Amino acid sequence: MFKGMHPIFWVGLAIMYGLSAIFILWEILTPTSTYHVTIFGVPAPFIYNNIFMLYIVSLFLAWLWYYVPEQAEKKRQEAGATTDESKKGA
Amino acid sequence: MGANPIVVTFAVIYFVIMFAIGWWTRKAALSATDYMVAGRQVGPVVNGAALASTYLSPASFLGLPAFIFIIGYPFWWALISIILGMPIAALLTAAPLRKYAPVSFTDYYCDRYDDQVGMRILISIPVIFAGFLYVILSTIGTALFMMAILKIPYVWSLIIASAVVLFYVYLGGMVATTWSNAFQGVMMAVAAVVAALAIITHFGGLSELGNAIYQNNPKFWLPPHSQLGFSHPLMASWTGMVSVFFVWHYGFATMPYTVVRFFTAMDLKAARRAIFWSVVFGGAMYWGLIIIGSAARVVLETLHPLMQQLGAKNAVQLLAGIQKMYGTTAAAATDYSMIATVEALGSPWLMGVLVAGGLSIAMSTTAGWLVVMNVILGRDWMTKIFKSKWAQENPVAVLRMWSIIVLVICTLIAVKPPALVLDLSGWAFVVIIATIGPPLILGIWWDRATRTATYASVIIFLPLTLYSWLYAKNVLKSPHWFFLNKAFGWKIATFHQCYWIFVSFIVFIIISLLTKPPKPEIIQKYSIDLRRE
Repeated sequence: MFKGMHPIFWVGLAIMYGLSAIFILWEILTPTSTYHVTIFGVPAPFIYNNIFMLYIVSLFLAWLWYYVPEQAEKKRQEAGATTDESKKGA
Repeated sequence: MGANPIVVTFAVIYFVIMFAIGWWTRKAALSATDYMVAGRQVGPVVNGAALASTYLSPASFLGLPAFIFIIGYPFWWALISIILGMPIAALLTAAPLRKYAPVSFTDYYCDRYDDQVGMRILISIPVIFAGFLYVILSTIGTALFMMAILKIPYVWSLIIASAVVLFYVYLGGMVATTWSNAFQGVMMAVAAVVAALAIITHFGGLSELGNAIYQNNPKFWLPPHSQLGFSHPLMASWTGMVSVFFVWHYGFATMPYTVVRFFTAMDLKAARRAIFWSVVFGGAMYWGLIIIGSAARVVLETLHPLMQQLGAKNAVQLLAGIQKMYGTTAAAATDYSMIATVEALGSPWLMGVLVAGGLSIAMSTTAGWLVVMNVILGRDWMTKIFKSKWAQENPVAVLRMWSIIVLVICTLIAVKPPALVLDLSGWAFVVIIATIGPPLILGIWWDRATRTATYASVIIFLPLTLYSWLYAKNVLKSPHWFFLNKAFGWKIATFHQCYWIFVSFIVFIIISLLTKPPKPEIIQKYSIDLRRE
């Protein structure tokens, strides 16, 4: 199952679900976390949830899951071109 | 009370742009492939904006802020997880399906499970079911924006909304839908962000806004298991928060109206990159919706001019009064919270932007589903199943005919929608992922996925999800309580019975392992080859 899936997919999932689990558990175990803890002077969820998780992590994952496979394809193509060249040379 | 001329101007400009897109694309969709998959020429930015606007419906724009208004902070996680779930599609379904390059949503199932007629009928059933529900809801959403902001009577709003969508879908098919949806994707993000910034500015910053929300309702911020109480009974325990995280999380990778957009991408790279852009636009909109939904109660109770006029004691009474004033039950009273919150700020410019954003998000979902439906009914059913000669000879005409039929039926139902139709939208989402999600994802990523397991998925989970959802709604008085709570004496919240999504994957795997595996050449062509970059 999932044979052939690029390993970066699992790395991304670990980041996404790991961070979500950490924040959800922190909120449940620290009931005052959602309002009384502040980051840059504002209630913490405005920063770690509505900016970091919603936008930064999502955009990072969306970038990661197109950039890494694209680079892998590029390397494969270059390697293929080199092999062809060496074959021609031989 | 008439609409402000500034607001009307915004709406008129919006409609002119929609008509222009329809007219401009009418010659770009002359062939059936252009009409169904936009000639597979759509670039990543346009497709990304179109993906965001198609996927995120009025249920997002009106319903999610309303849920935050009712449930409080823990519901933020639902919105976070929807956006977090979007990138998953990049490697899971978008790239393999673009490589396969089908025309209809049902094509992959037919080829992968080697069954051209039965599989097409089977997969169509939940899609058509959900499609009708979504088109009805999106049409209602468009009409609500026109009624609440432009002050046009509900029935006329419905007729105008349907006529405009039909105009550009009829003329330009997927080409028009793509360009209009891309424009709408930008508009909806701008509208939500501008409205949220206006709210933050009004309070003097995020810190002051957070404090105002706390002063108005100290329970708003409470997470589950707090000794200080809970923000809403559904959020008394962790199951509520975890289930809101997962209920809509996997939709982007599996819902037909987003999956077909992957078919339109110009290549594999464009399909993956489009998802990045859909997160840019969708994420921006959701940032705004979280602010609007969180601020709704305090803004309505302190700023809305109708609070005194209607003699309302709180925001819920105010919204009930507004609903009564409009004289329609096409939406729940709390669904007006988003519009009323922005209205309370008293800026016609802001309302102008909001009407354009609201119409955008509603009409884009209608158009997106309409294209899925007309391809399934016109191409799959009439051409592939019933082998109609007329349909084979007139592929574009048959798609246009079904666009008209579907939209007319949905508009007629939307005039006085049965309450159940409105409520069932939550079920529609879960049923799609639970029935056709496992055969799609595991069909690509697991050689052992079988035809029998696909039949079993639809036959088991279509009635099971519906029964559990209806039972929870009618007996436990909310579709969000676990339907067996009464039998076991539990108080577990499971939003829209979303656990079925995970159960359906397990059942699919078990049945696949117990049944005859597919032919090696089928696995090679429709699984292994599609996984290779």
